[in-house]
Amino acid sequence: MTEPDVYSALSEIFSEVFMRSDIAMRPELNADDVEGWDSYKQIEIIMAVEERFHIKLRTKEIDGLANVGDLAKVILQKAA
Amino acid sequence: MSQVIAERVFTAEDQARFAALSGDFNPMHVDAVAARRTGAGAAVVHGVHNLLWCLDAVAKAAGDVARVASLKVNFDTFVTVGEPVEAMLVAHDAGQLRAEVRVRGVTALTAVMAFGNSEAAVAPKPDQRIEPIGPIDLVDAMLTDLAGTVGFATPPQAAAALFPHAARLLGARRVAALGAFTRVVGMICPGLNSIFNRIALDSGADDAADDIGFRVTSVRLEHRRVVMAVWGGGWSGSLTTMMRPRPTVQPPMRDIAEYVDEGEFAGGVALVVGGSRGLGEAAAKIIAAGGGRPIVTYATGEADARRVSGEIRDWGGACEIMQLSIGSPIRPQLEAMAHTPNQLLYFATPMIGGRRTGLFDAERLELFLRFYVSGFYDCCRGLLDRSKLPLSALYPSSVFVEERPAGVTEYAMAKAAGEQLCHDMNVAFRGFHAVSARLPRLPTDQNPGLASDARHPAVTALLPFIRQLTWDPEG
Repeated sequence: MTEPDVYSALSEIFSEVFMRSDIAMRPELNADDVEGWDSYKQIEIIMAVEERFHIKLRTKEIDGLANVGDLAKVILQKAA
Repeated sequence: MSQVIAERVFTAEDQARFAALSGDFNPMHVDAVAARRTGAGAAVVHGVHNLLWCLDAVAKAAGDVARVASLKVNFDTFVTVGEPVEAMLVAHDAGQLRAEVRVRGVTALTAVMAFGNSEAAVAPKPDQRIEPIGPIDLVDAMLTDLAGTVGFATPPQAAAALFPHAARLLGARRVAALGAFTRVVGMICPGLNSIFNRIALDSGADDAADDIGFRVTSVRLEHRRVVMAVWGGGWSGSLTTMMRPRPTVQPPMRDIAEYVDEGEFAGGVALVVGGSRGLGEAAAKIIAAGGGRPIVTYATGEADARRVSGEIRDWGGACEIMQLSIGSPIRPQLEAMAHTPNQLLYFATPMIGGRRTGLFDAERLELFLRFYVSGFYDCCRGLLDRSKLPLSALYPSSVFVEERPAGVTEYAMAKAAGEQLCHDMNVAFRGFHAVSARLPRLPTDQNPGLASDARHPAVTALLPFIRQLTWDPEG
């Protein structure tokens, strides 16, 4: 799996979770940039990531995520 | 094309009507006193009520549309009773329609309907019929594999009468089924302590039955998340929900008494403003455990105040209760008191979290100043003028005055102002001594589910400051 694959999958996940297709994926994207990105939506993103990539994220890993770039890194490590 | 198609304010009467229609009587929606102990701090409009109102407005505005093949809904944030909301038609073409409900500029609900043909097959419903009388408080272990069949609380015609345009768009039974979904979430699973987050439904065959089936498909306790499959009433799909943290319970008297020296607060008559729950409840119990007599005040939570005084008296302590509202002039309310306090512990607070759209909100600052500065000042002044006796007062400030995490600007400003007021009153008022306590975040209804290493963090945080008050006015 390549980084572009991960970003492309994340783009679909964000569209589904936020029900919007206009969120452009970039590593710096974080909760301050997207209206409604609260702790619940964060969990929905994580649940969708786990299902999509067949991985399981630990609470510690989730708490350490500051932006989409961090999430993509964890996915690339775990799904490798 | 984003346009406002309807506006309204949901009232308590609207809530009662929708609760009767749907069968979702969760106290979060219909009991303002119980609801103040939830994360929303006030009674919350049923998400599905908001949805059906929005769909009704959409159907009216959009005219004739094709068959609805699917419906997806995000309940993005709470709408509380009394808040003005707007229904917006955001996009509409041959393939789909997108609508939102906005509250004070924030999206509260997003709904997307796709048009086309869908006749998702409807599986047989579970044998176990569940007719909830009150909201069930399920223990976590019972959620796994929970399944049942739940009837409509009222016939589809009743739903169609309240939401006629939505019924024309979706069919009366599908409207009624949406009501049954909120009944499942609010009354059964997760039940009493629930939040409804998401609906994802395909239009299914109409099975001509006035009930729906549900089965829990995923429970993730670490995220407090529960997902159910639902089917029936012309729908087939899933509901995503969360288990809300239970209201925070303060320790019982017998636990608190272990921290307090016998008789250390004897002779004290302490007015504990906002003592019916949270830190005020803990403070009242600490004082009673040390032989003092707390007078617990409540604004709306009389039942909570009675519970606290009952607990204290059952333990063998003394406690009275009285109503005191920071929103009304304080002095006449204090004059009605039978006893004369020589201590004031001031825990009155509005909801601290809540909706904010920018860095600074003048209205929020005003609200916090009214509670944390004017209210405190008026209580001190009223007590001093009433008795001419010495008075010592605990002012609960916050570590946020120094630490300043994001989102607490107005709160920290008002607490800093309260500290300055304490300082100046200590200089200016004879026989008065205020202790301002920079308390950490503690587990209360304002911080539900906050974890702590200490066994009774509120007690260990408050006790040293309560001891700094004057407990022997003669000494």
